[in-house]
Amino acid sequence: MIVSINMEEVKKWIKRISKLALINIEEREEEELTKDVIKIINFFNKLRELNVDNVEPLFMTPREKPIIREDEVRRGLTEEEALMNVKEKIEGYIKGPKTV
Amino acid sequence: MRILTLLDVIESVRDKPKTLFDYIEHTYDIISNVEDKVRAYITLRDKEHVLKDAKRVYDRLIRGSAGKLAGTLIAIKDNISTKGLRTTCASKILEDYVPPYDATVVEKLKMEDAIIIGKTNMDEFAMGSTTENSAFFPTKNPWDLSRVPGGSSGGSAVATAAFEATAALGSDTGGSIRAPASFTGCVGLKPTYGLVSRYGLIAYASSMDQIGPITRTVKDAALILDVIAGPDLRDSTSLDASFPKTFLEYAMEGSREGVKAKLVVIEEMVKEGVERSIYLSFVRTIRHLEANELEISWISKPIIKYALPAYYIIAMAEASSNLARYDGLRYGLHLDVEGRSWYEVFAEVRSLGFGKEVKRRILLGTYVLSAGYYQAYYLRASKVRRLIRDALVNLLKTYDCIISPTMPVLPPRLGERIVDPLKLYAIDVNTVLANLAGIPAISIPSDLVDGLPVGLQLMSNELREDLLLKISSYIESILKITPLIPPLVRSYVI
Repeated sequence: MIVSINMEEVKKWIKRISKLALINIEEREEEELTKDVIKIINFFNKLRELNVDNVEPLFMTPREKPIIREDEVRRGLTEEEALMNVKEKIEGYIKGPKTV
Repeated sequence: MRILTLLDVIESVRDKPKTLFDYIEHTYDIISNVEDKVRAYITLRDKEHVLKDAKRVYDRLIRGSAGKLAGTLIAIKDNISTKGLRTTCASKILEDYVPPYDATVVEKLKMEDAIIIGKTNMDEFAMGSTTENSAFFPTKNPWDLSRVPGGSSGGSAVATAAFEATAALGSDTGGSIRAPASFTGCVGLKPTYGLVSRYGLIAYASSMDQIGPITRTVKDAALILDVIAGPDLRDSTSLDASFPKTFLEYAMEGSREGVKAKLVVIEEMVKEGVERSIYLSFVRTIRHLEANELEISWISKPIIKYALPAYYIIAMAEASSNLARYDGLRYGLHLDVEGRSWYEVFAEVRSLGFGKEVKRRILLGTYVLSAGYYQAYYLRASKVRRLIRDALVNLLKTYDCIISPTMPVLPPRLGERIVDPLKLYAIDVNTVLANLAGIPAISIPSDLVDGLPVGLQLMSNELREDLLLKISSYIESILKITPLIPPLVRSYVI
C-alpha cells in the first residue's frame, strides 16, 4: 500500500498496471506521469482520515424495480449496420489479431 | 429577428411556419461569424441538409401535426450517438466512428420534430472540466475568448450561449453540464440518475453519467426534460417515474406565482477554495432571495470535504472498465493485425488513440480496482459515497433545495488549470455531490462579475425535479438576468 510514496515504487507499479490496462507508456511520458500519479494518490489518501468500518458501500443509486424486459427475440441491427465501422472483415467476420 | 429562447422559436414557427427558414438562415449566419472564434462544433451539419429536414417539419406545421419542439435547432454533445452522424467523443480512437443507431434521447428529440444541427466539442470521453482535453481543439468562452468555457460539455454550452443553436444536450458525470452552463451564462440541468435513458450515451462512469439539457432559460430546460425523460427498456437503470404535471408547467408556475421554499447552504460548499468574488456574489444573491420570501439556513456537513476524492476514485474505476472495449477491431482507430499478437495490437491502438488525461484515468482506475488496493480505495470511496448520499438525502427531507455557487471560481484562462490535474479536479468540488448521490441539480445564471457569468446551483431530492424547476424558475424571475447574451454575439441577436 502506498502511504509514504516512493518514486521508484510508483514507476514499478505504473509498469505493471499499464500492462493490465493495455496502455504503453513511452519513456518521455514516464516522469510527468509518475509525478502526477503520486499527487493524485495522495489526494485519494485523504479518505483514510475517515472511519468507515461499519458503512455499507453504495455502488449505484438504489433501484426499487429495475427496468427489465422479457427475454424475447427482437429486431436489432442488421449485420451490415453492426459491421459498418469494421475496417477489416472477411465474409461477415471481423478480422482480429492472433490470440493463441 | 429576435428569437431568444426555445419557446420563442416554437411560438413563432407555430404562428407563422415560414419563419422557420429565416430562423435557420439566421442561426447559420451567426455560426459563420462566430464559430471560427469559439469552435463549439466538432461536426456541423450542412445547412442544405438541415433545410431539407426543416422542409419536412414545415409540412407538418402546415398540417398541424408537428411535435413539441418543431423546427428548433438543437446541438448534441459528441458522446451521444446519432445515427449516420459521426460521433467522436473528442477522441482520436473514435475519430471516424459513425453510429448505426440513435441514442434514445436523440430519437425522442426527432420524434418531437427538433432538428439536430451538429455535434459539439467536449473533453475527451467527458474527462475534464474545461474542454481543453479535446483531442481536436479547445473551445473558447464567448464572454472572453482567452478563457475556457468549462467542461466537459463545453461545446454544447458555447453553441447555446453564442446562439449557434437554441439549446443543446450535454452529459454530466461530475458536473459536465453545470460547469460549462455556469461559465457561459446558460442554464444546465442534471436530472435524477435514471430519469433520462443513457442508451446510446458512450459510457464514462456508468453509475453517475446522466444526460440533460443546456438552455438559456429554466423553462427551456424543463421543456427539453419533458421530451427526453422516461423509462427505456434499453437502459435497465432508467426510472419509471410519473409527475402529475409537465416540467414546463412547474417552471411556468414558479415564475408566475412564486413559491415559498426552504433553502439551505452547506457552509463547506462556500468557504474553502471558493474565490472571494464568487463568495461575495453568492452572498448578494442570497440577500436578494431572502427579500423575496425564500427562507435560507446555513449548516455544516463536514463529510462533504471527502466528496471530491471519493468521486474521482469511483469515476476512474468505472472509466477503466468502460474504456476496456476500445481495441480498434469493431470501430474506431485501426491498425494492421496481420502477424501480430493481440496484446501488441490492442496496446498500440490504445496508446495512439487515447489522450493523456484518459490514459491517466484508466491507469489510476485500474490501480484502485486491483488486488490489494480495491479495499483501500474503491471500496472505501463507495462507503464514503453512501455517507454523502445519506447526508444529502436526509438534509433534503427538511429543506427543499441545497444552494451554492455552481463553480468556486470565475472561468479560468486557457492553460491555467490543465497543467496540474489536482487544480483541474478542484473546480468540480460543488458539482460532484449530485452525481455521487444520484439527485438532480441545476445551474442557473445568477450574476456577472467582471463581465463574466456566475452560476447558482440548486439540488433537490431525487425525483423532485418538480420542486427544483419551480424554485429555480422563481429565482430566475427574481434575478432577471436571463437570457444572457454575450457581447460577442450581441450585434447579431438584437
